[in-house]
Amino acid sequence: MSTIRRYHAAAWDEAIVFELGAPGRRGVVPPASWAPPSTEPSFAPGLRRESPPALPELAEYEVRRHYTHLAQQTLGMMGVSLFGTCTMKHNPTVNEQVGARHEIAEVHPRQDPSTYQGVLGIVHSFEAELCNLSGMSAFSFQPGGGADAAYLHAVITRAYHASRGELAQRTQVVTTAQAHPCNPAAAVSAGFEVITLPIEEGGYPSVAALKAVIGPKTAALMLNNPDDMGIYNPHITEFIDAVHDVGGLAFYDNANFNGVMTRLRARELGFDACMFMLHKTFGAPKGGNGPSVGAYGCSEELARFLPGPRVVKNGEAYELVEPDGSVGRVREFLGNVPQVIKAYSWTRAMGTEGLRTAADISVLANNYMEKRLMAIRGVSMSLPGKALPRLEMTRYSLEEYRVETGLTGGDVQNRMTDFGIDAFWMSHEPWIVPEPFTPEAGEMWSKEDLDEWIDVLEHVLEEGRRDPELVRTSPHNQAVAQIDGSGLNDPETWAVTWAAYRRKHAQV
Amino acid sequence: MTVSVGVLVNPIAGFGGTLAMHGTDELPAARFDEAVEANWAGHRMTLALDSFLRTGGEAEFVAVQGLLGATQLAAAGIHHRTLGSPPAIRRTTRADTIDAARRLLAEGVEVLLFAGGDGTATDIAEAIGTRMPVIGVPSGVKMHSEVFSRSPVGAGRLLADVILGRASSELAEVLDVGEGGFSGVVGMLLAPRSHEALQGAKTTTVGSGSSAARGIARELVAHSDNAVTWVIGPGTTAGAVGEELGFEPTLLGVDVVHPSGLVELDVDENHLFDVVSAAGHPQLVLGVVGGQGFLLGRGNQQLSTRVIDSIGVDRIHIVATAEKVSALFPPVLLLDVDTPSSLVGYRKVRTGSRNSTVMRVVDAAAQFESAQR
Repeated sequence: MSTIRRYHAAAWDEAIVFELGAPGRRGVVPPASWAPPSTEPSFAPGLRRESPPALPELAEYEVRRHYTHLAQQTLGMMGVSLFGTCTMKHNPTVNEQVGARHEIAEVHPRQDPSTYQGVLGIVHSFEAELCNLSGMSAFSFQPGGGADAAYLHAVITRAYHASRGELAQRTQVVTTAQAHPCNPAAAVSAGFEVITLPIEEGGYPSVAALKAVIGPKTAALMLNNPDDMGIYNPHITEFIDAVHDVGGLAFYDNANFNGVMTRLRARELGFDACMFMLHKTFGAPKGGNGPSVGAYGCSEELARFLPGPRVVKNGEAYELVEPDGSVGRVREFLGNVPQVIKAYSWTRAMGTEGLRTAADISVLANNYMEKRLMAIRGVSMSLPGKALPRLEMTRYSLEEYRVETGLTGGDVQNRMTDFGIDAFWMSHEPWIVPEPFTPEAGEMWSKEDLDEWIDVLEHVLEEGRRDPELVRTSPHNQAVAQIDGSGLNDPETWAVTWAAYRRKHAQV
Repeated sequence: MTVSVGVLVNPIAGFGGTLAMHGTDELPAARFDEAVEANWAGHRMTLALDSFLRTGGEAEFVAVQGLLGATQLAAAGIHHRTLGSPPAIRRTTRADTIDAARRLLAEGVEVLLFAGGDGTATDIAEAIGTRMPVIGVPSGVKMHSEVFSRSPVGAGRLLADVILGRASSELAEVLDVGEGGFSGVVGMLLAPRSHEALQGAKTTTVGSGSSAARGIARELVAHSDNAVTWVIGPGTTAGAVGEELGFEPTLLGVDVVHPSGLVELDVDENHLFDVVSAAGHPQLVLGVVGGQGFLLGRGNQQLSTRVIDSIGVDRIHIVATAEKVSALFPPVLLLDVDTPSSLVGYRKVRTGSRNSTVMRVVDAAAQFESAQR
């Protein structure tokens, strides 16, 4: 085992920005306006607030210092992050510069389309590229993330069955226990009941279980493949055929596309619709729940239900049109267009061959990790020897280690951050593997990065054997210590804004 | 504020495991001292209390004099208060466990920590029922009851959460061998459930088991009419339907609600067969037993094959919380019945008001044979 490097995060112990500064402090004091005062109020009286907002008052250097401190205290991408199911990869700087160009950053969606033909051309071209990668006939970039795309599918499922006069009858959506939870959640939000197929001995649900619950009530099948454990269901076409036979639609949540890029196409497997995460697989940034795009693709038959506006090419001009059977909107306008442009730039730079190489590397890197991790005492993997070899990620377990030491996966995760390793991804719920963890190497991280990640895990497990309290009370080298998560489920306690915090905790 | 914590140790628990005695329920009197000497449960209790003491929280430990707690705490050097007289008993029996639990309750302890197995849990359920929260330190041979933490360390941490007010209590099923040698749900305890600590940015919040059960019950009752004869199987998840129908279910037996509104509690097989044979629209609500995944043949022998066949598979609603069924791998539900059952096959299991899963229902004997092959 190589030497573990020392690490310590910046810890500024700084108050939040609302508690900094003093009344009257300013960065810039603008000169008084020379324009004659307007006689017409800008806002209707009912829209005006009675008192000014309670904003912090700070000098410019204080603001810059504060946010520099916050940046220093943030772990993301400064260490190694193998956050499974999220496909962490570097977002090339050049694409940020492309996105910041005035032709993109300063476009307003209410401009006349003739004034931003270049942007529309990129959107149109990228739609064609995703159709090429998926075999679908049309894409919408409107959904603001994967869950939004799953919701769009649930809504389109409603519209499709309504158009055939079968909506009242088709009340059930079938999903699997290792599909992303946004699939059942989206289905329930759209008014469907959800039937979840469990994982069976082979590592995936059985066709027999599916056939036992589908029929005239079935509206759609929604699943991931490979699933959240990196397991590919080899009977996927039988699933799709069975659902089609009873009149349902099949939706492919391609969140785990990284290991199969250019190796399979959703439409060729038989799916009616699919979803790609531009902010994961396609190299556009994410984080802080920042702007994301769940690109939703569908067959020719479903395209008329897509949200508008859609970009179409008419001669040499790009135009915006409303599909005749559109379900309406799931977000504004064309969606997060700057993200689409960054994903377009990333995809064009990769090229088809590059995407194939990236897919192969991400599977190879996972296999490499699996080989090393399985040699570590206390680490076991889900369904060893049962399912097919894993693709881009593997679900492991620290249950043996917990039995040995009493330390949980959460304890180990905390301690790893003391070495500059981002907290690992455990598992979506419900956990079918105890004390789970799910690293995803992807194509970007170097072999040295993967080795460092594994070395730190091995080091922490040994530390826990020698000194369990050290691990249990970690992190010790981080910007913050362990936090008390007990209020997370209590609406009376949690607060995500300063105003809510003061209302709930200081009764202000 | 100091919280008073009762500590109860079954001094012989766990001894039977390594000897393949399947527990100490039938321990020969001659081996009692050997079992006490092994001090397995005392050791596990010490681990739990050490874990608690590291985590912190103001607690006063209270134990009854002698082998049911005070001896082990004294040996481990853990400060505690002893309830004296009657004099310490040399060879304890289950009557002593029951008596000790009652004395701790009478003493006003606010939470009870015990080390033992399913037998000890059964005795405590008989002694104090659901009058105070109980945490089980896993120390026995059979530990299928829902009152046990996953490890002694986990029990200590849970106790800390209780004392810090971070836990809420839910009904927990106690499983053991009951009357007639059948194993199943034999009692109920109040078990604290801690809110899981933060696991990461994508953590989802799973609704508590009891709210899921209420959701299932509301949905089932809302979609039925007044002609239904309800048959409510044992357990808390099925029992929620009884509560939704407006009565307090026995939880341990099979209850019937007639279309007239008449409720019959804890009916036997013969009467149940007469009821469902005569009923126009019988509906059975059937829960899943504990961590074993038994559907029939564990504490619900009243639901014989002829009763099941008379009701009809399409009128049987299998209910379980997602927590319970997701712990079952492979996803199989077991039947321990003498005659072939029409329930065998893939069956829908309701896990919430709008959610369900699919489980493979198999004959336990057949399952065992296939595992042997």
